Amino acid sequence: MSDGVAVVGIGEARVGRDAGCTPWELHLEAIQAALADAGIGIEDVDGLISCPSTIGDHARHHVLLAEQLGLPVKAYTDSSRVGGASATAAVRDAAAMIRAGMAEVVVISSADTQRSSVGRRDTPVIKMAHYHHADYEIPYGPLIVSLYALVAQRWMHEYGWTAEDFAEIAVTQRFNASLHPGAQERDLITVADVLSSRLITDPLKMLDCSLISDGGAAMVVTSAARAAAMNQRPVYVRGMGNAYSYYYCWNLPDYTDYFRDMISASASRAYSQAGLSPHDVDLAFVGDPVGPCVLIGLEGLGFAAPGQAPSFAAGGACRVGGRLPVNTHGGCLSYAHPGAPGQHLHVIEAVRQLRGDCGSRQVEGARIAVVHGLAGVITSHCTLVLDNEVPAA
Amino acid sequence: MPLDLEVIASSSDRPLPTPDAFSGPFWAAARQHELVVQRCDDCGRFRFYPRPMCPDCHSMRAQWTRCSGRGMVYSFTVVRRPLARWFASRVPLVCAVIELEEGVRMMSNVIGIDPDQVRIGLEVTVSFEDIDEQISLPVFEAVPSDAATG
Repeated sequence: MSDGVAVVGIGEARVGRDAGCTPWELHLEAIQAALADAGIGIEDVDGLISCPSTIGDHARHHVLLAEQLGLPVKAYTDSSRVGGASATAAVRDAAAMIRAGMAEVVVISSADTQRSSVGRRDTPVIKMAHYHHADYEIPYGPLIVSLYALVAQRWMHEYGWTAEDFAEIAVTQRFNASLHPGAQERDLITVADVLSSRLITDPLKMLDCSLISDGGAAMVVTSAARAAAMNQRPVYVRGMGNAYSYYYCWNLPDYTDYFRDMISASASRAYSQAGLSPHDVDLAFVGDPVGPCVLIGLEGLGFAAPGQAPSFAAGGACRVGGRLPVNTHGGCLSYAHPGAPGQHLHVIEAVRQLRGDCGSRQVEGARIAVVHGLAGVITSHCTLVLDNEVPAA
Repeated sequence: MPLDLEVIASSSDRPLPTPDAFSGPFWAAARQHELVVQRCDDCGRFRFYPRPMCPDCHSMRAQWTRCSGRGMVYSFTVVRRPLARWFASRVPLVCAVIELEEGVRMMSNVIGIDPDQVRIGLEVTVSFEDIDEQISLPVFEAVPSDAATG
C-alpha cells in the first residue's frame, strides 16, 4: 500500500521507581534507544512529536527537545497534548504528516519523573491537579482518581458492577506484569488483596489505581516503503480513529453509556479504516488510569455487550493465554505509569508482541492489536489498529 | 490568576476560587447565599460552569439566573486521602456531582452527614460556607427525609 505507515523502532528509558535524572534525559535516552532499535541515526529523522512532561513542561516543548536532540533536519516538530492519549494521537499525527509528504521519519517521545518527584515541591499530585478546575473542583478536594471513582460509582449503580469486578482487572494485569522482567510491580495478587488494600476514594482501592513511576518511551514511525529497509519487522498502522467529547466530567450527558459510545466512535473509525472488526483482534491495550476504565474500554472496543465487560473479563480471560489478552505488559496498573509515557508503553508493548519478541508473555500467533488511548476522565480517545503483515494494496 | 497549586500543596490555607471578570457574578451571588447559573437568552438552557458561549445554540447572550438550590446526588466518592495539606484533617470528605433541579450538574461537597450514608439519588439542598469577605463556597446538605417526601 503506497500510503502505509509503520512503527519501526521502539525504546524505553529507566522505566520504574527512580530514574535519577530529569525528564529531558529520559526523552533523549528513549529516542536513542528507539533509533538504535530501528537501525538508523538522528540524521535520518526529519520529524519529531514530543509528548510533554508534567515535570518540567514548556510551552514549546518540541522545539526545545529538537534543539537538545541536535536534530539536523526539522521538517516537522510539534507536541501532542492529549493527556494519556498523547502517544496514540502522536502516531495518528505522524502518519498524517508522512502521508502528506511533510516528513518521512518521525520520532515520538514521552518522558516524566513523577515518581521521583513525590514529596518535592513540584509533586505529581499537585501537577496533575492542574488539570482540575481551580474554581469549581479543587476547593472541594477531589483527587485525580476521585474523578474516575465518580464514574465507577455510576456503573455500579446502573449495571451492578462490583468492587470484585474492578479487582479482577488489577489481578489480571498483575499476572501479566509478573511475566515481564521490567515491570515495576511483579508480585502476584488476588482479588482479596485488592479489596483489602487501602481505600483511596470510594469505591477505588490502592490496587485499583495506576502506579506512579518515572520513565521515558519513544518510537520511530515511517512510510511502509522506508520501513521495508530497516532493522526490525515493521508493525503497520492499519487504522486510526479518534473521538473527543468534554473536558469537565460534570458536563457529560451521562456517566455510563456515553463513555462507551465515545470509545466506540473512536474505535469504529479505526476498525473501518483497517477493514477489520473486533473479531479479528488478537490482543488489546486499553488506557488504565484505574481498573474500571479497562472494563468500559472492553465494551467500547466491541469485545463485550453493554454492561457485560465484567463477565467478559472474568476467569482470567484477559490474561496472557486467555481469550483476549489485554495490557500484556501489566499496563499502568502494574508495569509503570510515569504520566504521558504510561500509555506510550502500551503502544511499545503492542509492537513488541506483533514482532513476536515477548518471550514468556508472547501471545501466540499475534497479528492484529488494537491500542486504545484514553485521556481526561475518559473523555478524549484515540484508537490504533496495528498489524504485523504488509497491508494488501 | 490561576491558583498556585505548588504553594497551596504545602500551605495550611484552604485552596479557594479566584473570581474573575467573567465568573464574578457567580461568586458575588454565592457571597449573598444565592446559587446562580447562566441561562441562555436564546435557547433557554442552563449551563454550568460559567463560560461565554452556550454549548447548545452558540449564543453569546445569557443571564445569571437564581437556582432553587435543590438537587440530588448524581454520583459521589468518599475521598480518603488529602489533595493538599489543608485537607489532611478534613478527610474523609464527600465529593459529589450534584444534579440541580435546573438540569445542570456541578461538583461540590455533601456536608453534615456520615460519609457512609451518602447514596446516589440522595436529595440535597445548597448551603454556603462563608470563607472570607469575598468567598462563600456552595456546598450541599441532605434534605431531611420527611421534607424530601413532602
